[in-house]
Amino acid sequence: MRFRQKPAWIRGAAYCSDSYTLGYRDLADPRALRAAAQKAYRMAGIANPLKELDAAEVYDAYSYMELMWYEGLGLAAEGKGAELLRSGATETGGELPVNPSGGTLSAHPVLVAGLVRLIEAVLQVRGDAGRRQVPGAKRALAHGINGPCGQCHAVMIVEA
Amino acid sequence: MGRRAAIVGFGQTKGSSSRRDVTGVELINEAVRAALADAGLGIGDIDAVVIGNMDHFEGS
Repeated sequence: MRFRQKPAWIRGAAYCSDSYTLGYRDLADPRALRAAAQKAYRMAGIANPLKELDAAEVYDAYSYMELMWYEGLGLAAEGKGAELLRSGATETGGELPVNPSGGTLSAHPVLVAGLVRLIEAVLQVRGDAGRRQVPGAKRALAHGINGPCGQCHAVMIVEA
Repeated sequence: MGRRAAIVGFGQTKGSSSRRDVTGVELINEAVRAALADAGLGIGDIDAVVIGNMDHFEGS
């Protein structure tokens, strides 16, 4: 079958859920995200996500999230999320642009917020992201969450 | 994992704080039509459908 669009191949897909009860987990330690990301990276054959990904779309409905998810996604070591942000690596034109779409802080379609991250990742690897296109993006990550305070995380890797 | 799974189209409804012009079912229809148009496919080309829903919001 022939398709109109360039396929965005799914190279990795994983999710992980932590305890529902807030008191049963360390809210500053996104271990469910770490587990989901590592599984998705293993599927996709990614050893160093910061170097091997071209764009990332993460769920950042609150401003603390992006920094903490950097660490959960293995883009920065524990406690080094802010350092990564300050380095400029995740800005447009940086080593790994994060949320070129503006992310969930800019527009938050609540029940499909994660799915929209995936749409944005697909647009990036298709080369259809318009003014927010990361030039030459071939491999992108999409991340979504559900449950209170990052209880459950899903990570997908798509590739042109 | 299998190497033959790909996203070949997507659809998103027009975003708005309130959509009084459509019902919930019609919203789904709008997204599906947009996805099929993006992929260049018809509904007859689809072999399986998976739906994500929240019963609480849909009253079902």
